[in-house]
Parts: sequence; C-alpha cells; structure tokens
Amino acid sequence: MGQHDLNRRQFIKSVGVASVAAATMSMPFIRANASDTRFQGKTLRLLTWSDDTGLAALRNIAATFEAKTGAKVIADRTGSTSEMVAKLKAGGDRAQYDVITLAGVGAEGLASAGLLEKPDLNRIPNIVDVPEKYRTGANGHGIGYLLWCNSLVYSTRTVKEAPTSYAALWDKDMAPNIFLPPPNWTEAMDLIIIAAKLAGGDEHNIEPGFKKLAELKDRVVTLGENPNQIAELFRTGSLDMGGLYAPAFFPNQIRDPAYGLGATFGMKEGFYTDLMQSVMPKHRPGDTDLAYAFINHSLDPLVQGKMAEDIYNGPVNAKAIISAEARKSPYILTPEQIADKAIMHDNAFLATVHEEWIRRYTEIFSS
Amino acid sequence: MRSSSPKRSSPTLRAWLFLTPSLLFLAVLIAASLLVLRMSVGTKGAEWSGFSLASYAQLLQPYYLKSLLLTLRLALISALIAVLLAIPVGYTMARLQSPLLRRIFLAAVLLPLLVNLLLQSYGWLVILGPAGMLNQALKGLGLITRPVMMLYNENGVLMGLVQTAFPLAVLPIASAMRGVSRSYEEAAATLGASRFQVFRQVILPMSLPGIVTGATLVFAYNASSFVVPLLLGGRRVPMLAVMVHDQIAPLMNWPAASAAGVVLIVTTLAIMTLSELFTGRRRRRLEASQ
Repeated sequence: MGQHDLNRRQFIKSVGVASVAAATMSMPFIRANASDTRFQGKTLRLLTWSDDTGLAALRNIAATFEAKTGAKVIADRTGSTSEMVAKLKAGGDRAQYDVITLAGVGAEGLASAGLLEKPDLNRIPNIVDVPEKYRTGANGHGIGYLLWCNSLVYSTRTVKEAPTSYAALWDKDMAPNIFLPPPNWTEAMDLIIIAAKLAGGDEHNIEPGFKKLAELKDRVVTLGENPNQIAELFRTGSLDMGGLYAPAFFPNQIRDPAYGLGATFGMKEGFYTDLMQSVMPKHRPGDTDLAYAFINHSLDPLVQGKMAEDIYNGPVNAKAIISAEARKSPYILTPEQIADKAIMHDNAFLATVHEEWIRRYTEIFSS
Repeated sequence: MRSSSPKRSSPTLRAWLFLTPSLLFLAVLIAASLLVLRMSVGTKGAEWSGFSLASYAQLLQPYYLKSLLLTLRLALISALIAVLLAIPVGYTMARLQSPLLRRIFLAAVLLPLLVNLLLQSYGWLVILGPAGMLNQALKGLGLITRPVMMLYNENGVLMGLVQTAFPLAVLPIASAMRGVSRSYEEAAATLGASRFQVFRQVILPMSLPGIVTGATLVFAYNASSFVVPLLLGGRRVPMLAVMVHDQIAPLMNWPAASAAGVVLIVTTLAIMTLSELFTGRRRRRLEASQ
C-alpha cells in the first residue's frame, strides 16, 4: 500500500475527527480541549430522530458535548417517536440508551408504562433559565428540550402576504388549494381546536370546530403525511397554503427559492407548540452523571440558540442566544416570541379525546 | 459374515429432518400470529395480562366498518381489474413459441415484484402527480393552467393497487392457460368455432382455476395494502391497514391494532376459503372430464 492510501479504519477516524472539528469550529463557544475531565473516555448512548432534527442534534449537541467533556456519544437515529417508544418497550428492563429525545406524546407513553426515571432537576443547572411550563413533561419524567413549533405554510408565488390569522385557511380566494396535517398527528388536534375557537367554541366545546373544518373538505388536496411530498406540491404550484405544519420539516426547501415556500408564526391567535423532551430510561447502561451532564448541555443558551437557527425549533431556554442575523428570519423563533405567542397544548386533555378526534377528522376528509 | 454398515435412518425420519427448517420458520410465523391474537384480547397498557373483547366491540363502530368495507371493496375491484388485464397477457405468454420472447415477457411482468413498493408508488407520482408527466403534457398543450389531481383519491389508490399486484394475477393465469392442451383448440376449430369462440368457450373455462387463484392472490395482497393507500391516497383513503397504523402511532393502542389485524386476516382467509372451495370443485370437474 502506498503511503497515501487510507485503510477503512483510518478513513472513518479521519472523517469522525473532521466532523467534530467542523462542528466545534462552527460553534466557537465550545473549546476544543475538554474542560470537564470527569467524563473523559465515558460513553453515552443516545436515541434520537432520524430526520433533520436528529441530525442537527448530533451536530449541535452531541458533537459539542464530546468536544467539551471528552465523552463519547453513540447515537442511534430511529425514524419516529412511536418507533422509539416501541424500541424501548421491546427492551423492557434492559434499556439500551442513557438519554432519549422524543415528542411529548412518546414521553407520556413511556412514563405511563413505568419505563422512565424521574430526573432530579437539581442536577440540571441550566434548567433555572427555562420557564416553568417548559421545564418538565410526562408527569415530571421528561425534561423540556426544544419546542416543536407549528406554522401556517404558504406559497410565496400565489399568497402575496404572509397570513396573519388561521382564518386564511378558510379564505377560498386567498388559497384555493390547501393541505392539512394527517389525522394521527398532534397538529391535527391543534387545528381542530383552532377551528373551534374561530367558530366560537373551544377545546371543551369542540362541535363548532368539526363543522368549520368540514367547510374545507373540497379544497383539501392531501393530508400531508410526507413533508417532502408537501414541499414538492408547493414547488409545482399545486398548493397555496396549509398547516399546521412545522417549518422544521423542510428547512432546506424553505431556503431554496425554487420551492416558493414560506411559513409564518405571525398569526394573531398565536402558534401551537409541542414540548419535545429528554428522558432517562430506568436501568440505563451508562453513567448517570454523564446523562445529567448531557441533558444540561442540551439546555445551554448557545446550544439552544444554535438549534433554533439550524432547524427552526423553538428554544425552551429563555436566555437562548439567537444571533442578530437570525432574528431577522421569520422562521427562527426567539425566546421573546415564544413567551409572547406560543401556545402549548394540554397533552393530558388531548389524550382523553385523541382517539375520537382522529376518527372524526378522518371521516370528514375521507375522499 | 456380512460386514457391518452404518445404520440407515428411516425414510420418515429423513422426511422430518428435511422439513425441520421450513417447519421452524413456519412456527415463528404462527407464533407471531398467535401473539397478535393474544394482544387483540388484551387491554391498552396491559397487552399481555389483561383480557377484554372491547377492541373487537370497537370494530363494530361505523367508522371501522366503513374502513373494512372500503378495504374489501378496493381489494375486490382491483382483483377484478387485474384479472381482466392479466387474461390477454397470460394467454399471450402461454402461447408464445419463442423461449426468448417468453422470458422477456416474463421479466416485464415480474418487474413490479422486483421494484420496491415505495419506488413504484413514487413512480405513479412521477407520472400522475401534480408535477407528473401527464400534467406537464396537458399544461404544455395549453389545456390546463394548474395541475389536475389524479391522485390522492380512491381512483389513484385503485390504480396503484392494480399495478403493484398485477404479476400475482398474470402468473397463475398464464400457468393455467399453458396447461390447456392445444388439441382442444384444434378440435373446437375443426368443429367450426371461431377464434373468439375457442377462447371464450374452451380456453377461459378450462383456465378458470388459474383465473380464480390469480384473483384471490391479488385480493389477499391488496386487502392488507399499506404503502399504496398511504402515498397515493394522501391519507384520504382510510383502508384498514392505515387505520391499524394509526392505532399504533400515535394512540399506542396495540390491542385495537391487533384486533383490526385479526379481523382483516380472518375476512381475507374466509374469502380465500370460499374461492378455494369453488376452484377445487371446478378443478375436480375438469380433471374428471379429461
């Protein structure tokens, strides 16, 4: 072998080092030398999403944590929250992960199955900067991680000004062809509540909401299960508006003018959020202090700001640092906007009506 | 004195040894089905320890009954269409003289089985989707200004179901038609029957077992279809497999999902049994007449 040849192991090593270096260089606040040597050489097993949010977590959280502590993060990226839940349930008493980041509904499911440890908030110093309502979820078993924020998505070609109210979805002239979230998503539940409020009801008086939603039936092109497909429909001029849907689903397409895709959080009624959470399974394989340190790191103001800028998730840390440039973007949410306009749905209440609402929503929009 | 030779195992033992790997594989499948059955009578959160028939009772609600009927209807219509399209293809394959041409035909028919189901569904999006070739052509001709929606409805799903299951209809039909001796055709022609009459009154009736088998395979395959209604139906065509998915995520109601799965399996098996009864009787009559 020539001296310039790389074998597979060397190649992987080089790519790994380069990735961490690149992530660290893009985040100058993280010093390359490990500042906390307690965790040097230890391993943390992380389960996270396989989508852009999961990838961003590896770049902005895992890589910087490794650089800061010298610990190694082994990440398993699984498709969706329900797949993560199934994976942990299948593991039973022998959990394979130290920390899992997942949606609120998944955390609730795992907590009710008795698979999670209730974390000690005193061991997470950064939590003092997280507003009370975002600190914990799943009856104290989950630590608020980021906010999944839902917007109205629109075509910048056919909708000239960003909508300022959810009522725009019902405006046939403004948006003849629309999409809505699929029935099994929490976004659909939030949309039902929005429709009810627009029709004079609320979540506890939901009938007007279903009646109002039914008005949309003939204009609904699809119930968007697949974000890439939705982006494609906008690109080809088949959709004018839709939602609730998170811009975090398609950050790359939003940045690409060919898609003509816009999203807004500027509705006067506010925007709906879901608290994504970090949870610690019982009987973890790794070090407990390391798991707490990782969760604490994920709440760091700089890390939170970086995640918000990178992937359009809302920061839970009220002191999250968002750059001046990023503050100009309509997709990047600041702590101030979150404090002002974010609405967090009541997961416990939704759990009681979820099944019936899914059924009714499906019935309304069946072709 | 005879030299001692190694003991030979009995034919029965050898047969069992031969069958063991397949039986083990089947045992795993049967065990999985039994576990699903057990979960279907469990309760949410106590799938293995609870006992309740509530999940089955829930399936009697109009919402689920409608979904079951829709599933059976689309599976049935797709089976009929697939068989109608498969008959000429199967006949051609059966009567092709050139082995090379027969192989090319077979490869073309098998193509949908070789290509991933997800890719096939995306293929339909490329052809019929809003940005698809057909819409582009109509736009180019100035006939439309905005794309026509040919997908995200029952027709779109039906098209996908027929296309993806087409080989399952062609193969048994071609096989059955190949089994019809040419001497019957010649005898009918000698007696003055036209080509169409020979096909309708000789070939088709004698191939009926293969036709019914093809229809049954397409029906069973499509009754449990998930990817096609999900992608081509735009979540607006609630076939039962999609509802099962909803029960698992986000409702995490494994008993309800299992009960829906059991009902789907039982219904499909019942229809396949009826078809087998019919085909078996027909086959025996044909064998007797030969």
